[in-house]
Amino acid sequence: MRTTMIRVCQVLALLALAVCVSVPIVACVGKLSFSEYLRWFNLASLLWFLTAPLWIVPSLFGKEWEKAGRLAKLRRRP
Amino acid sequence: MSQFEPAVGQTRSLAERLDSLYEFDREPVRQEALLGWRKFAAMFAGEHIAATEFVIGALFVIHGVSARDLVLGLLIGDILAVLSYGLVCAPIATRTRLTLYWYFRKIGGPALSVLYNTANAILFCIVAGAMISVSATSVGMAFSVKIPTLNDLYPNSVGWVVVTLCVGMVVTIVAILGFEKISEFSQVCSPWLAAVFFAGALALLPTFGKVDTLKDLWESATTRIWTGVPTLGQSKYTLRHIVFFAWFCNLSLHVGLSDMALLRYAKKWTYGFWSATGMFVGHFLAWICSGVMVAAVGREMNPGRMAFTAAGFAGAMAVVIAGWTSSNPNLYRAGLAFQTITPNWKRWKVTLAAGLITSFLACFPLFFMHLLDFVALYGLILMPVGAIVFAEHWIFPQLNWTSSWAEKHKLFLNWPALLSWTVSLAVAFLLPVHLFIKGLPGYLIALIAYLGFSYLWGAAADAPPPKASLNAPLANGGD
Repeated sequence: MRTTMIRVCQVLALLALAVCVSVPIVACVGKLSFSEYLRWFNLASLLWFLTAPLWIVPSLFGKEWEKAGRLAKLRRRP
Repeated sequence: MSQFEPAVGQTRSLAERLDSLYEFDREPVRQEALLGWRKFAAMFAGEHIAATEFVIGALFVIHGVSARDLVLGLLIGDILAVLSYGLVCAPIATRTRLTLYWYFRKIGGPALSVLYNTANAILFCIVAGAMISVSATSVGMAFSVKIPTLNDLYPNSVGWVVVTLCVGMVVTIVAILGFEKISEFSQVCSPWLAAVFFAGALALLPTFGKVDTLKDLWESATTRIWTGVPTLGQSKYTLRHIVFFAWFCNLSLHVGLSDMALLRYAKKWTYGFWSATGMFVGHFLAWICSGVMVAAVGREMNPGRMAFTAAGFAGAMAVVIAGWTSSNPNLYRAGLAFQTITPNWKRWKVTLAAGLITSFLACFPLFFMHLLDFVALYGLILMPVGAIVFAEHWIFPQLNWTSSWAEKHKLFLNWPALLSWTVSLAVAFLLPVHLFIKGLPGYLIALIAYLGFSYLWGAAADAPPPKASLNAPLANGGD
């Protein structure tokens, strides 16, 4: 269960980062207003901080999560 | 020399306490602990995205750097920095597998390692203080606090002092409660911080005019952002300032060899070149981006406002998080160094003391408003240590001189090292060149001075000095 959650978090975190990087490009070429860009960027940032810690540093949440982090296939072994 | 004995005794026990603090990494790194290139690429990229990046790129705009000088200067400077990591620091780190602390102790003796550590601790406190100030600009914005201006050296309002002290205390308390946890958490922040810089600058570009083509973009960059005209009262920076700043802003880390602590884990010496990820993400992209942000807020040196304008609440949080996560390790390192002079204090007490000093320093805007000068000075002060180690490691064996001088002769203090450190700094400060450039002649002077003094002290002779004591200058004559 924990391993699956870490994998899901990884996918969501990467998605959030992709949004963080792509919305300013869309705003820069004039396809998105500045206020829309701000909304998307802030939401994606929130998603990043909700998901990335579990993927990148599962040890922050205890030994069980650290173990699950090692087992998660998408995560490289340290 | 009896009047010196108690002082020497005190310093000796100080050195012993310092040794015990670093005991865990006394031995060279074992083969199984070595790390692959991916780890280094990520570590360098993460390490060089910090709160200071919000200030440095902005200060280039304020100092009237032209767009051409900026791009060219950063390219040349960053390449030189990568080469310094790859050709100077990494080969020594992977051959010795030791931290600079232990390698320099073999060369300079315990007394010099104490001196180096104390200088480092003071400088760490100032760096951490500057980062807390940067965070405070963001927090202060939420409470409508008057933020210091570019020319302020002292706190300009009670509100600023209160906010800075509060931020400093929060950072200190969190560092006391869990330094390791924050270090781990900072790994989460690095990719996002890079995204904040990139997004903020890119989203603000249309405010400077049309950016449909590269020509339009360059036009906006040269006429609206890096105009080549400094803000009133600021000196003008040109290509050479940018080249040398980009090269030497991490002088103490690459040529000064502090990053041996990191690179000693590298499987191959070539991993030093992975510093390119840090240089080109942090010291190229992020500096350019913060330049765009400061131009968008009318060149007001206020990182909090810059980031808020560029990325809203996330931007303001980025400044706070960047300041927090980057001041945390500096505070820890300063505490570690201070622990040697306060042997009976517990770690929390030492970190609290370091935090109080840091928070006090953070109230003075001169440290972050003059960050470029301070960063250059920091590297310059510690750089001679790198030159001394370089001479011992590469040049001494070629000349058939005695390496690891202090260790072999059981010297408490390597006088040639101390003299070359002092002389090179004195000469470098007297040289009529800009502060950013002083590192280059300073390094060469330190190298030559160390070779000269070592020769005079008998490094060329095979036999140890007749009296291996603190006061044995010219023991082997000047042969």
